Amino acid sequence: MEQYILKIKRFDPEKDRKPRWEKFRIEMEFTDRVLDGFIKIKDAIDGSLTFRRSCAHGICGSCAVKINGKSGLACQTIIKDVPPGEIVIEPLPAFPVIKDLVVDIEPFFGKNREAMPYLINNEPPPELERLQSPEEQEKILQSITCIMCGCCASSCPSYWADKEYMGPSALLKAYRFIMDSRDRALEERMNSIAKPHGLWRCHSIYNCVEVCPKEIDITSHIAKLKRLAVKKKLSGFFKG
Amino acid sequence: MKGILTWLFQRIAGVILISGLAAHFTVMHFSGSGRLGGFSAELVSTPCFNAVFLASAIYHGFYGLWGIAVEYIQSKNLLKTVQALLFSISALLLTAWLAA
Amino acid sequence: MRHKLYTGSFAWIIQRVSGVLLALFLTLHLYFMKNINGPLGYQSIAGMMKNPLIKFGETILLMVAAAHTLNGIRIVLLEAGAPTRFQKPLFYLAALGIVVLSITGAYSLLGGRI
Repeated sequence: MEQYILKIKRFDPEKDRKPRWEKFRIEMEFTDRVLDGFIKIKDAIDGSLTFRRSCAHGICGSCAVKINGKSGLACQTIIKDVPPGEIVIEPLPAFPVIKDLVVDIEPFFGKNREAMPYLINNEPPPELERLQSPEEQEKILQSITCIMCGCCASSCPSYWADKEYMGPSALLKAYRFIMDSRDRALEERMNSIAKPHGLWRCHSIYNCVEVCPKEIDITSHIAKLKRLAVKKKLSGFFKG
Repeated sequence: MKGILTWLFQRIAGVILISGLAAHFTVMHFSGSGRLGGFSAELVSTPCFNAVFLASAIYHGFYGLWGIAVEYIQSKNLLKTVQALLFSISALLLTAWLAA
Repeated sequence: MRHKLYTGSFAWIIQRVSGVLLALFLTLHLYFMKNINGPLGYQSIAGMMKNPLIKFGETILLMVAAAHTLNGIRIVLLEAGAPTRFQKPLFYLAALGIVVLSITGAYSLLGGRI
């Protein structure tokens, strides 16, 4: 066991006019995760510390916070992997803070809905299921692993500036269905992303790729969508 | 689908500018006949090159500013005003130079 | 900055700032060049170009243009399909190019000949 200092940005809407910093000294193993630190603080030091967590195993995406200036999952960040000394914890940037580390993810989910995150196929379903070959699945394999934690959007400079920008995760969601061999709504989907506050606000900054806890190569997926949009537009021209 | 061709032109104009700028710089600064020597001669001698170069530069510059405006200006009215301004300035510059 | 600065975001900031500066310069450049009247105006401009302050400004302009151009090529390559693992090496390459262009450009603009 070793001593660690967790410096947490706190905000209680009933008491605070603006966020304040609080330091907690706790004993932790170097194999512990940042989330274990939160739980220890809440259990033993200050029960009012508020944070989200559900699965605690990197699947639900609810414990995303900013750790030492980088968006990430508290349950997936091991103490030994953060530089020694103070560990600085803040709520996700660009998301409205509700209390302490809990942010309002509704605007973020709203943007995902803009990308129509569901299969669209009006053809009569086969008897069992709509099949997909392993090769076809390979195309969307990475984009399927997104857990919608919001790390990508919260680290994207375009997302900070442009309140209407769909953001990396919504564009990735669009990719996931556009490239799905079972989906039939290419036209609608392209319309939903090829717009001023969609695809064209991505400037290949790669922050989303740096922070994605599922290690999804988001920027290259978005670049593929840009190329697809160009291809579709130009082929439309040549057909007349 | 919106903004596809304007986005594509931004890349194309950028690529044109690379060669154009290299030629422009060379002519302006490193031509044998002095610092500003080749200026008028070069400008008149290849009107097509200059028109394409000029249009690319103006397009690339103002599309860039346009995008920044879309990103940073939250107020719809202010955005429209700024965009109208950007459009007028670029159109003015382009016509003033092409008319000559 | 609201987030840790990575290579990609650093490159983006350079691209933004240099882009705005170049757009500003372009506008002023086109405006003033259009308003040169006759050989007299031409000569006054030619005289002005010899001013060391202007020369220094030109050197800065060259650096800004080099940075915007080389990083722009990087972005075009990446969006055209260059894999993500090249984004940082490409930036280092661009940075090297910017330094080389700046030094050679400054040398020749500030009096030397290459």
